[in-house]
Order: sequence, then structure tokens, then C-alpha cells
Amino acid sequence: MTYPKKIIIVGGGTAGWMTAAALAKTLPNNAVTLIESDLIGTVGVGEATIPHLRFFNERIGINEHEFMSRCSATYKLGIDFRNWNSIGSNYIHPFGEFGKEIDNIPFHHFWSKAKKMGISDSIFDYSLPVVAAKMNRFDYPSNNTKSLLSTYSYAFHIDASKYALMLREHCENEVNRIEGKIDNIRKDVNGNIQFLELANGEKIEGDFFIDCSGFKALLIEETLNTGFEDWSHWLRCDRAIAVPTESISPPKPYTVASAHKAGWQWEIPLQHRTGNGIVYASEFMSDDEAASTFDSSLKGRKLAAFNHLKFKAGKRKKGWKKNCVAIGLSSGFLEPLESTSIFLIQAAIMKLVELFPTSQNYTAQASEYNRCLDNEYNKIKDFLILHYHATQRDDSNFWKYCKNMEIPESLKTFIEAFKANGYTPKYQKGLFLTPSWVAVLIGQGIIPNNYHHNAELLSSDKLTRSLDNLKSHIHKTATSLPEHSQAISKHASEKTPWPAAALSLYGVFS
Amino acid sequence: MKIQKIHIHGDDFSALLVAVSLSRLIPLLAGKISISMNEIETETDGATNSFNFEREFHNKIGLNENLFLNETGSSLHLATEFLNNKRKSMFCSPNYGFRFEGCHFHQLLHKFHPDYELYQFDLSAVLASLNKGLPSNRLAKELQLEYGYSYPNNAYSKFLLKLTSQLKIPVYNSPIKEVQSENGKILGITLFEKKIIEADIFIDCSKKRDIFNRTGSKFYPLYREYYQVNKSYIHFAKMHPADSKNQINIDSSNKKIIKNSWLRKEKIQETFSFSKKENGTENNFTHTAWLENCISIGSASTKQSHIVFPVQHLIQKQILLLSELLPCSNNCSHIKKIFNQETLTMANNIADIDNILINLATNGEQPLTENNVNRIELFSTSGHMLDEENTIISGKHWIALLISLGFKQIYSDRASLRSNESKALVKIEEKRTNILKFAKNIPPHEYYLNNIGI
Repeated sequence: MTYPKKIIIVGGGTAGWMTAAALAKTLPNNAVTLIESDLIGTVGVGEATIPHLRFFNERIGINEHEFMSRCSATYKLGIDFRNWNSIGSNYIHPFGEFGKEIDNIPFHHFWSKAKKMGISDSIFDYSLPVVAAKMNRFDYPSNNTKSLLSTYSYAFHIDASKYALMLREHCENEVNRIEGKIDNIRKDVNGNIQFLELANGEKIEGDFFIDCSGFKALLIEETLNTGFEDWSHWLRCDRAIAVPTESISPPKPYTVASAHKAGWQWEIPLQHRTGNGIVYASEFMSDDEAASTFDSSLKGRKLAAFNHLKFKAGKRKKGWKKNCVAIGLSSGFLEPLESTSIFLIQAAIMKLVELFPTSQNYTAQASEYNRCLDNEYNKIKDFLILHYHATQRDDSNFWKYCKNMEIPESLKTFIEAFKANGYTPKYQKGLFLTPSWVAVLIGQGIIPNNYHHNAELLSSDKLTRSLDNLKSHIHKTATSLPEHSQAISKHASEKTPWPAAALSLYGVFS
Repeated sequence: MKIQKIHIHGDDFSALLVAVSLSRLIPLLAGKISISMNEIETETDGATNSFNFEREFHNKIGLNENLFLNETGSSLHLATEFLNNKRKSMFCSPNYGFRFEGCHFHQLLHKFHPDYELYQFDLSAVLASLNKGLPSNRLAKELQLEYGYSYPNNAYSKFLLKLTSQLKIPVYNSPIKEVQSENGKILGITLFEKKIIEADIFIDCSKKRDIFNRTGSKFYPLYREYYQVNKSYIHFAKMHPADSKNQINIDSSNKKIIKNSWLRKEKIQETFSFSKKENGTENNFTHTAWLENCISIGSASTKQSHIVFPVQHLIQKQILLLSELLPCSNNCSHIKKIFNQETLTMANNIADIDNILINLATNGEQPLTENNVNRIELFSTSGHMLDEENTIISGKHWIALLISLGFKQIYSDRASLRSNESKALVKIEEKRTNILKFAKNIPPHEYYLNNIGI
């Protein structure tokens, strides 16, 4: 066995148990211990996911049918953003592509040309996952790359507390679970964490510690004083209220994110209930007003009391410091507008597993880990700010602030380049690629002034015909898919093999 | 849509390459591109040894490989052999090995077969070690092949000149006499032959930045504290075609670097020597490769020695980027910013590669760049590579580079520690023997060159 031998995870919940399950699977020669206390609740609102979770589940050997059933999960094709650009507007950010590339030129350039000529419909009519989601239909994507059915991927809406429990059972033979509350944390002379003392006096020693203690950040902040990079001047929302309600209609295959005058509200349809939440900026909306707005908007009977949360957007200055890595809410917080909370846990775990030390000298690994995670956080941060900033709304002080605030230079460059000629970021290391940027930029009302030169090579007649054919092909294909609820029951009863997972939002093999 | 008129100025193949490539990538630019050249090279001024990226680029611009090989007199460049004092090893393509139980191949080799060399698991490098040509049949999925070419620069210029003529791109053989500008924007240039050229966009490919210098933009002295290549000698020797090799070798010993490449009938040897320049202005990059309506490409955007990676690859990457960023109004500073940032990243990457070589040649007297320190430390403590954006070579290729230059991985990673040893050993041996067996049946390099296109 190589150093570090003994790994201690502090905190259960989704982050703790995802980490435990992944480490148990990938580091079988290490002793993994997880300390959690039933007295400390979990935040438990990370219920909407993105397709990457399928990859994680596949890697740790989770059966998707069992997962669907145990987590009361539904399928998810994207997020329906309502009232973001203007009151009454809406668009779906899909887990999939728009149209087809022609000679390596992305579809949105051809769409932009058609739009300028006045011969095109909404770009969202040219995306199968959008059209299928609107029709409340779903089926597994195809692995035949020539098929239209290969142009999307899917994720889930889940009961996060059930997922944590499932993971706990999945790895309980490999992970030593200790029930207890941490009273004291001791460091060695080098500043590394040496041991934890529980309330019952038990001393837990470890070589490497993983902080999954949530907002409290018991190890990474309270003990190691890592520091916090505050992004709340861009992402103003700092409060949330969550509550489950009874479902009043069959579950939809998408999350709903409706903007209100000082933030937004989510609706996450599960098999047995609906998860609801309101996110707001306390500077622009009081807790009472938020609670009353939220209460009056709920469609089903409440199944629990309101769960009030406080947070601040930002991230730790270092996710890995000394012999401690922070995963989940202890490492930072970005509101779940694009369902990235569980993804950030997953990204941290995957990077940690890749770079996990095999000797006592791991400064280089820590620095690379921090660089990569910073990149993930920063890219997601920019993408979230885009939703708030690119808006026509000026019906409240909140939206006036968002519309007029200074945004990060990197985001400004993306927006201006897209406006100039439809150019989209080409980065490979980061979550949201061209189709996502296109969805949100256009959805938020930013239309390119120009398009790629080679889009001119397609005559207007040919372009009209191709767009018409594509639209009708998408419509026909979406119509042929089963209703979402039928798909859930069919896959559960027939145990249909699910498609291989990829680390992508946009298709089974992309 | 308004199609912008583009004028390209240069003094070597760069301007011709930009003009031909942009015309092919954006057919609507036909009739909108012109070139002015200080001088078209007719004498051999060195050789280029390109990597697989050149083939990918040719595919994108629709350039036939056989035509290219015949017109330029290229030989194949399948791998680079690095020599450092008495040590030698082959820098192979990133196709080496295979993934096994989630483990990267070099990690597997480090754990289970440290006596084998990484290049033995790459078809291109094995073909290079045997001085073979290329297989004529389509390759099986598990046998991937990457290669570039070695060609004399003047032959490349002549070939590109032919293509410009076929594309009816006007070429003016004259240096620039004057540049007319207003508030940094180039309005036109006057050539010595009195021709006045106006355009929407000017592209400066000249080594002395003939247009760009007149905009007031200076090179940023990024590498001032490092050793600089201050001299390079080129030596040509005729040779029998049978002696032509499909690899190059680069010897970085005794405070100099000697690079040997074999063309079809001659061997070219380039010798680079260094000195520390406290206030040097060479080997620098510009922060503003695109300023107002003037874009610098290749040597005009970054002055470097290009010992391992030829300037062609930087130019090709810049062309592809530019083809996506056009059309661009002169007011769009953000489009320019993207071009400038990416150019800087690529230039840094090319400089990093040469920086390691010079560090080895000077026995460590030349300091490593910060990026290289991080790369090497991460590699030696874990066998991993920085996960970087927009690098000129991939992470996997960086690993091959470091291994071939003699950098050692000290610790195995977790994935290799949990791999099944007996299964891994069988697979490793199978891969090595399959590649060797396949490579042995390929005809020699000379035979391949003599039969191109037949």
C-alpha cells in the first residue's frame, strides 16, 4: 500500500457518499472512512442533474434501472427557462444539438443567415430534444451517429437524499462509516490535518482528508483557512427556500427555471412528487415576500415545511490545500440554475481520483487539481452570469442591476464575439460547449449580426428547403417517441439496456 | 454580407500559405485577396520538418498529398530522434499504446515494463526506426499512423506560388515603401514599384513586421531572461536517395543543438547556439497579433527559433482560427482579443518545447519556463500532464516528448497500481510484436518516395 493510506471523508450527503463510492471503487487498496452525523441535516436540494452523472454511475457500477426506481427519478432533456429575457419569453436549453453542421460550419450560422432573410423559424424548432421535451416525450438516444436520435443526451431528476442512501449501500462493504459529530480537529507541525476528535472522545487519524461538510467547510476553511473568492457581485442571489409538493400532472422531461422579479424558481418533477424552490437576492426581496411569492406559486399540496437556505456565490481559493480536498458545497457554491451542483462534485472526484497521490510529495498534483477545478468553476460562473446579464428585463431593481452590471471580461468577449459573427467559445476544458452557448445566447435574445462566410455558399432556395426538411424530420421523430411517463414505466419493466454514457451534454458518442 | 478585401504581405512561404489557405477555406474570398512579397526564395534556406497537423491542415484546405509530396520533393517525417549526450530516444506520435482498465499506456509501461521504450508501441516511430515508407492499405483501427513531412522551404514556396497562380491571386514582387495609416488603422500601402494597395484587412507575414511595425506595436519581451538562439548555421550535403531517412534527429548536447533532416537527395544540418541576452528583443511574442485592421501571422506575430515545431504549424493554426473569426468589423475588439489570446497561448507552447531542449543542451543553465517546471514536476511525481487548453500539442504528446527527452516518472499512478499485471503484460507484448511485425512488411522509405502516386 502506498501513501496516503487512510482517507477520511467528513460529511455524508450527496457529496460525501459520491466521493466514498468513487474512492472505494477506484482506490481499493486504501482504507476509506466516512464520518457523518444524523444530527446534522443535509441540504438535499441537488435534484436536477446533467448527463455526466450517467458516466459517473456507470463507472462505479450503478444499474440505471435500479437507480431510476430507488431515486424516484425521471428523465431530463434540458431546462425550460421562462421569463428570463423578458416576461412571457421562454426557451429550452437542451442536452443536445441544433440542426446539423455543414462542412464543419455549425448550424447556427446557417440559421442566422435564414433569420436575416426572414425565412427561418425559432432555432429551438431545429433541436430534437427541445421539440421532444415540449411534447412531453422521451426515449433513449440512439448510438447510430447518422440518426437524428443520436443528437441528444439525457440526465435525471432525482431525490438526492435517496441517491445518497443508495450510494451508501452500494459501498458500505468497502467504506467504514462512523456515526459521530466532530468536536475538534488537530493539525501537525506542517499544517496538515492529523486527526479528528469526535464528541464521544474517539480520535480518528488519517493521511488524507476530504471535506464534504457542506457550507460549514469544517476542514478546508475553519481549520485550514483557505479563503473564499466572492462572486456575489455577479450572482446576487443569496437565499433559497425549498419544499416538495405532490405532483399534479405527469412528470415533464425537463426542469423549469422561471425568473421572478428578484431571482428565479425551480420545478423538478420526480416520479412521486415535485421538488420546488425559490432562489432570490435578499437585497432585492425580503424573506417574507419570497416565502409569500413562493407559496402562492406552488401547484400541489406541500409535503414538508419550508427549508430556508442561505449562501454566497463563489468558491474556495484552493479546493486542495495541504492534505485536504474540499468537495461539494464546502468547495464553493454556484446556484443550481444549470443543475451543475452534482456535476461539480463529480468533476472534483474525477480529478482527485486521477491525481490521487502515491507518495508524500503531491504539491504538483494539488496545484494541477486547483487549476482544473478553478477552470470548471469559472466557466460555469460565466455561463450563469450570462442568464442574468443578457436580458431585456427592467421591471425591478434586481434586473436593472443585472442588466447593467460589469461582467467578467471573459464573458464579455464571448458575448461580443457571438454578436459580431456567431463565433462561439472553442474551449475543450469546461462544461458548456457551442450548443449550450448558442441555446442561452439566442434564448436570451442575442442574435449574431453576421455569420460565417461559407454560409453564403448555400443558396436561399436550398437553405429554405433544408430548414423545412429538418424541421419536419425533427417533428416527425419527436412525435414517434413515447410519452415520458410511458418511457419511465417501459424501461423499468422491460429493463431495456440503457445507452453507454459519455462525458458530454450533447449526445451519446460526442 | 460584405466580403472584405484582404492584402497579405510577406517575404517567404508564409504569405503564400495564408493566401492559398484562406482562398480555399473561404471560397467567397476569390478575387478579394492580393499578395506583396519582398523576395521569393529561390535558394534553399533550410528545411521544414512538419508533424501530422500539416496533413490535417491539407485535408481541410483540400490539398492532395501526392501532389504535395511530388511538388515539394518531400520525404516523410515519421518521428524525431532526440540525442542528449550519450542518451537517445525517439519522440513518437500520440498514438502510442492503448488504454487498459482505465490506465494510460505510459503508466502501464512504467509500472510493468520499464525496460521497453514508449516509441516501440507507436507504429509511426517503429516505421521510422526501420526507415520504412507507408502502408498502402487502409490500417486496422488499432494501428493508427501519424506523420508529417520534411521538405526544403524554397520548394514549398515555389509550390505555393504555383497554387496562387492557379487561384488567380495577384502577387506583387516588391517591398513596401510606405504605409498610409490613420489612428493605427492601415488605409493602404505603397510598394516600391509605386503600386498602391488598399484593403479592408492587411495581413503581415514578414519576418521584420514591415506593416505592423508602422502601427507602433512592439514585441513584448517575454523571454528576456532566458537563453536565446543567437546563431544558426545551415549545412547542405548531397546524398544518395537510398540514404534518405524518414525521421529527423536533434542532438542537444554541449551547449548547442544540431538538427539533421534528410530530404530526398540531400541532408540538411542546422546548428543552433545560444547566449544569455539580458535585454534581448528577439524570441518574443506580441500581445497584439491583431491590431486595428492589421493581423500579424507566423514570424510577424512571434519570433522564435522553432527548433522542434515549425512555424508552419503556428501559421496553419492561425489561419484556421482566422477563417472562423472573419468577417470581423474593425470595431470588434473582442474578436481580435480571441485571436491575440490564442496566438499567445500557441506561441508560449512552441517556446516551451524549445525551452526544454535548450535547458538540456546547456545542462540546466537555461532556466525552465514556469509552465515547464509545473509540467515536469507533475509528470515526475505522478506521470500526469497538465490538462491545458489550446495547446499546440496534446497532453499525450507532451508525455511522449518528456519521456523521449529523458524525463523520468518516479511514482506510478493509482490506475496502474490496481491494474491486472499478468493481463497487462500479455497485452503489452502483443502490441509490441504486432506493430513490429506489421512494420517489417512495409517497403523501405526510398521505395515509397519513388512510387508516390503510382
